Amino acid sequence: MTQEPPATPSVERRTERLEKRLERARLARHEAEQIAERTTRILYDKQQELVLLDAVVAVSNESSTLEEALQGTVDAVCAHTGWPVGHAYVRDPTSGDLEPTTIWHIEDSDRFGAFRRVTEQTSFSHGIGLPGRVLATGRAAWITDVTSDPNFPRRDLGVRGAFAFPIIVGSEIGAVLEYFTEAAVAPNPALLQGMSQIGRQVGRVVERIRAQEQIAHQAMHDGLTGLPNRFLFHDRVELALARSQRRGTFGAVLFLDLDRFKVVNDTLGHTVGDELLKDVSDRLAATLRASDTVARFRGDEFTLAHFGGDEFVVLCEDLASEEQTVRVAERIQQALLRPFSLRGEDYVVTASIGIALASAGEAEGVVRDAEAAMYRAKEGGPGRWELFDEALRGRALERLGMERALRGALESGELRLHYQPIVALDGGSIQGVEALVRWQHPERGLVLPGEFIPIAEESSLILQIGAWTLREACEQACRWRTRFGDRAPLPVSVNLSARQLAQAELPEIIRQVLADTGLSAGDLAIEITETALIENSRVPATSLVELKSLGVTILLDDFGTGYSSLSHLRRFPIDILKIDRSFVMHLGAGGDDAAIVQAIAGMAHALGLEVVTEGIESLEQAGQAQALGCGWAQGYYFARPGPPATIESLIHASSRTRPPAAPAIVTSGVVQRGLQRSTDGL
Amino acid sequence: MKGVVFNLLEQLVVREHGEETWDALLDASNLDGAYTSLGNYADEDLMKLVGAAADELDTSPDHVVRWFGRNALPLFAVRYPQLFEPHDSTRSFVLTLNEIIHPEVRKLYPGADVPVFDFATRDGVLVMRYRSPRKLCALAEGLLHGAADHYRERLTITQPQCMNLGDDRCVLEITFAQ
Repeated sequence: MTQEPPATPSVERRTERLEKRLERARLARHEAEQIAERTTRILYDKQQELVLLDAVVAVSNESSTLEEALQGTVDAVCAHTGWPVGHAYVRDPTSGDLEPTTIWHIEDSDRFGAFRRVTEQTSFSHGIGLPGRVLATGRAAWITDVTSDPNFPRRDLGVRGAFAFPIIVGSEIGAVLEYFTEAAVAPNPALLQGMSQIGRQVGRVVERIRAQEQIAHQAMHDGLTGLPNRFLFHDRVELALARSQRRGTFGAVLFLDLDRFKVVNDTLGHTVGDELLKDVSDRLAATLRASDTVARFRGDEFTLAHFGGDEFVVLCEDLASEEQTVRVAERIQQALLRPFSLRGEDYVVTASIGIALASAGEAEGVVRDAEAAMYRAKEGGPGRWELFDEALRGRALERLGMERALRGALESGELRLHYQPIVALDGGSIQGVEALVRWQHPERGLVLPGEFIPIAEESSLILQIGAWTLREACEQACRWRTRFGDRAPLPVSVNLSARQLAQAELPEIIRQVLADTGLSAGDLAIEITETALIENSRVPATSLVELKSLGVTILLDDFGTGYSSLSHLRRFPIDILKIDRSFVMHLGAGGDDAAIVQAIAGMAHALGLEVVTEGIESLEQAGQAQALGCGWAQGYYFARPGPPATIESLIHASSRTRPPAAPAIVTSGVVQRGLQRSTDGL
Repeated sequence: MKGVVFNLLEQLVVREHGEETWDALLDASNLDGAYTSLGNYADEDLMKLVGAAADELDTSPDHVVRWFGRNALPLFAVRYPQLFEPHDSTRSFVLTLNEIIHPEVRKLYPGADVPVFDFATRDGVLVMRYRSPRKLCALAEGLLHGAADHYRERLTITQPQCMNLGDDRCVLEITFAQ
């Protein structure tokens, strides 16, 4: 069988087929065109989104305030969408509601004026209206036509299509941006998605702006108490000065310094000190706010500031009389009387307050005057106030000059140590020397410590002077030990200030100085006052025990003037008591002084302590002291403080009258046996 | 002019007058007639086709353009329903031309040269101003009528100014029947 060739189709049949092919080609083309259109459209949207995102990032990154960032975003989105109205709602941090702002983009203020007016008077809470919906869901929302939306209160004001999205700051909604147009517009999911991304991006910028604002706030406020700092306070005082000149009123600056706070801080540690400062700052603020204080003034004319450390300042404005500022000062001091409770313990804080009236001049000057008045208040004792006057200005300048000069003196080596021997009443042998600091002033000559140590104590200078004294005395002692051997006038005793004593690292400092100078610990004694011990209730017990274990001798100075506490003598590893010169001065005049000295000496002996009587100026006093049971003494009668050479000549004098290996107890003259015990390791 | 306009014109001519007519129009215009919706073609190609159609149908080119606009609109409504659905009236729809419709056109057809309209409302009359070198106010008129058909409304359009009559722009005043 042969296969039939296919019959040639008819023309009709071929035309029909061609038409079908044409139709197929046309359908394929339409489909291809539709796919291409869709892809083009998506690409277009993505590109536009990128352009918008770029614009928003640029504009918001250039913003330095939240308002600028929101305004930039509102404008950029309107430009992108071509929608004529954009507005920002900002979340109130306390109520959590959305509050309207004046941040708008409006293309035609005539057409949308009514909408704007109503909007600016409308807040939205959770779920209400377009912004509330965004707040409730945390997501962008679209309304095709607000006129037919059941949950859109700002009706009939010429807008129809709407969408809104949240600005998400951290994990919270910080703002909601809303956009409107006059026509109804079908939801555009791609646009909404892009807007959500913008919301997150702007949120990050807002976070950065908030951080910057916080930094700016920090630059103006004290980090610990959050109160205005020196910078901001000076600004406020300048403003107050300008105001009072205009109004003819006056204000005042109160400068508060907490008494002995440095010691509290050094002893209890900065953490406790900081807590106390915060409590003090809260109480000061509460006191100033208290109605019975403020009632005498017109509203909140107080600025409380913290200059760091233990210094607070108050600016009072619109005062009628000086008396009012004094009343504020007294009110503050009274408020501080109530003890502060910290970690189970009570602390009483007192403040010295200086007051300067501010009616003219510069802020800096007024604050400086108040500070000077504070210093004078402090001189009178803790918890006092003082008003600034012209005489004080002079003293303040002098004090400032003194501090500056003292700093220079330390650097240029104008400080000197003089030494005064401590002798045995029985026989006059030298039991050691006390190192006393002097200032060899190039113009004023020799300045005694009473004039400059109090100033040094107000600053860290005291620590520097203390460190210098310790090192200098140890070096001198070392030279003496090398030169005189057993006859060296040692130990040398060095006075430690309260702040030195409060240093936790004091034993380490002393160990280091001994190592550096090569001095034996047994050749060093430290003198501390009972007051310093009281003020340093924690650290020194361990410090002193450690020093004692090194072999350093410990003297308690000025005993009898302060607390004279027996428990202190037992608690601290004291070797020697020094009875204050005030008792000796009145020894011959009858009264109780003799009995007190005798009691102290008896008590000291019972505890195994040696007793030094200070301020012996006559043979008679020396005899009395010895009769009352004191073993050793110090005073002009034996020797005035002098440079090392005067001590050396005393030693030479004694060696001319005595053989080198003299017995410890002699009946007259001076021998060279020291205080040191058998621990002497030289 | 975008290819989609040629495609729609072809679709309408074929639907109303058959494929032969379209072929004849192409021949008369000396055009090969290969248009893809995504392409860009010379404006004068469209005008040639319109001219040929006017000759063929023994009418004016403006009439052809108006006819085209009115009949093309339903085809747009099929292709792009999302542009029509949010609206319940011609006015509402027309007002989205600048903000929605033409931006959408640009998304689909990058580089599309769409006109900008300026709207105003005076005593209930919607005034639409138009200025374009194409002077296709007749197309606008046709499309407006098409939109009215879509929303089942009736409107009348008067044109006090026309670029084709030497004015510097076209003004269409649209009155909607109550």
